[in-house]
Amino acid sequence: MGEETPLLAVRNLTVRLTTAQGEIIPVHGVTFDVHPGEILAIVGESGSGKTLTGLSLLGLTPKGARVSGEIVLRGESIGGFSDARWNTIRGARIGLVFQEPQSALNPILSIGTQIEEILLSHPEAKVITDKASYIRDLLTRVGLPNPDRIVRSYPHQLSGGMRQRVMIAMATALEPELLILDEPTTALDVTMASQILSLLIEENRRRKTSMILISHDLSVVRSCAGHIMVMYAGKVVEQCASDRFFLQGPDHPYSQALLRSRPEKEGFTRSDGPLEAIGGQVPPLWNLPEGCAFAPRCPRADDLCRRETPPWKPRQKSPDPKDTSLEGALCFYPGACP
Amino acid sequence: MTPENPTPAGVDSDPYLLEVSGLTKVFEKPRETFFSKKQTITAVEQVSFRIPRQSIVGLVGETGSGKTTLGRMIMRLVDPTSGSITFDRTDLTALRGESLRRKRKQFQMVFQDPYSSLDPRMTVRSIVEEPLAAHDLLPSRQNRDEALGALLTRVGLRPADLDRYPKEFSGGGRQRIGIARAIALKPDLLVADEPIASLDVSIGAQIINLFASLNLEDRMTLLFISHDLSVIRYLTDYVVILYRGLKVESGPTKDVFANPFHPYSKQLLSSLSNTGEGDTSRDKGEPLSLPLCPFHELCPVREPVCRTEPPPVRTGTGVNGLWPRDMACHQPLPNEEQTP
Repeated sequence: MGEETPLLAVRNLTVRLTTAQGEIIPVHGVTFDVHPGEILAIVGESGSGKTLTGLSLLGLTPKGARVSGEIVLRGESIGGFSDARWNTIRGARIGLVFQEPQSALNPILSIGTQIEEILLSHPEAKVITDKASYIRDLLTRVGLPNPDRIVRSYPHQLSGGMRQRVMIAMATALEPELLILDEPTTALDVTMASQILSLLIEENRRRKTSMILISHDLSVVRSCAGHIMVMYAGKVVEQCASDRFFLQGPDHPYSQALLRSRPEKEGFTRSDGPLEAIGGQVPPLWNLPEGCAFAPRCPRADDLCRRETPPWKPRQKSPDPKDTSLEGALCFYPGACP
Repeated sequence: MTPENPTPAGVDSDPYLLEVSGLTKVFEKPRETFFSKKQTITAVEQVSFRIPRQSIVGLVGETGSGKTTLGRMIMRLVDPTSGSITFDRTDLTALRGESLRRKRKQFQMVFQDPYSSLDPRMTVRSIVEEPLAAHDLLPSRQNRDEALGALLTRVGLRPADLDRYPKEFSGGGRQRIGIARAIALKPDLLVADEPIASLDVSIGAQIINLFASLNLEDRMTLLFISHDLSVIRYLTDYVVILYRGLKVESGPTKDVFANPFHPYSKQLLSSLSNTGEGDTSRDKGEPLSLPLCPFHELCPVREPVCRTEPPPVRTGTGVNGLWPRDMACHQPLPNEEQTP
């Protein structure tokens, strides 16, 4: 093993579902590590399986889903748990922040009641003598003014940004080691999004909480993630350090196309030419093409790509045998654009 | 105005398609109790700008900055409290009833949410036919399929999609239907309110390209409302930055992004390059009593005068074509001549 054991090691995680269209595999052989204090971003378009990957780590797969593979949290295998055992993980050891703070909060309970519920449901996770003041401290820490008023408020009385802060307060209430953030800023506007991101980065630095950030927004990912995992049609197509991804550029043609479809480059305007949109759409999971799922949209695809499943090609490693990084790309022809 | 700037249209001597002047919208809050005094919220305060023909203008600001209200006032979906909107030399605020309805074919809107802005029980055909029928512009029966098919092709759909329902399309497809409906009447002005906010990255890029080509090939003037700064930088010629209802700064996009003048714009635009550290300010508190600068409490360079006097609007003296830079601030404008 490497110099540090990962906090979370996921190996070959696969989720199968039976739908009206037949069996689909929305999460297919996903393998990754999250190290202590690390922020890993999972990037991809809708339907790429990134949200379901996150939910599987909490045993929150839909009814009838068949989950295989290994999920190891601090050396303990947590896959295949019963719901009762999952409940000792959820919230206490792995926290979750949903995309829609609007629908994730219960509209008929006050914020105080909802946070208290979390503390009460995990009496073993944290000994708290004065719950009321603990909740107030939590709310203050996530930057909410006037916590006494917030405790008595109902979700509809708060703005989107405030609700998302409440969600973060709830997810961190039991100080979990790992926080899963599913599109935490998608429903917010720019300034609010950047405040929420700074709050998360602060939380990451202060308590060394590891995070999995699920997002389709590359500018969000750029501002905080250390590692990036790109998913396409249920599979991991690339893993890469964030600096490398944004500075030298990723290896997989899909990651490259994602990066090019955003007008992030300064000085590039519409008079310089159109944005390089990725043609076509993500193929439906019940009708995946032969070979590489990205081949029909890939500028580099040839007959081989359309016929056979591409191999995982690790990125050239440092000679250090301790290097256990999982960086690489799922492609016959990875690397910079020819 | 500078004489060396030729009118892009070439036919009209007025280089501006739309002028809003002192536009203000005050909303009344519901009373807390029957006897309490009426409270009001100023959503848009004295906003003025002129949109040059065939340009793309971006309207930027966070939630609550009044950008959507401003867009809706220009579309005449919301009545302004005061101020005027002059569209193609007609005072829109003076138009009522039938004359306004007839004028509407010249300005159309693309909405943010492609899921809720299309009637799920209408086919694509009836959605795009509706505005044409309302203005008696339906092509004759024998040419109709061809005309509607061409319209769909223009927005990247297939003529065969005419008889499908919105639910059969992805988010990007639905947004294309919304755009087809909006451009069916060949409007001069298209107002798009956050049209890509709910779309995936690669689909968003296709829609942005479509807007750029509507401007270039169909010579439409676009007012693009967005909080996505990278997209604004890429797509627009001019930008108006709003903060809590006040136009804090405007000018050519390239200049404003390269060198923002107003303290708020500086903070806003720094989020393009920063690492999430810039602004850690609190959530917005109570509405301020405009017309004081709404940013003065958070402003890093505030002066005592910001608490007592409304900010003056300063207009740049430099030659900047159709849209000289301006900002609303007590700070003087930096010497503008230096910016090329």
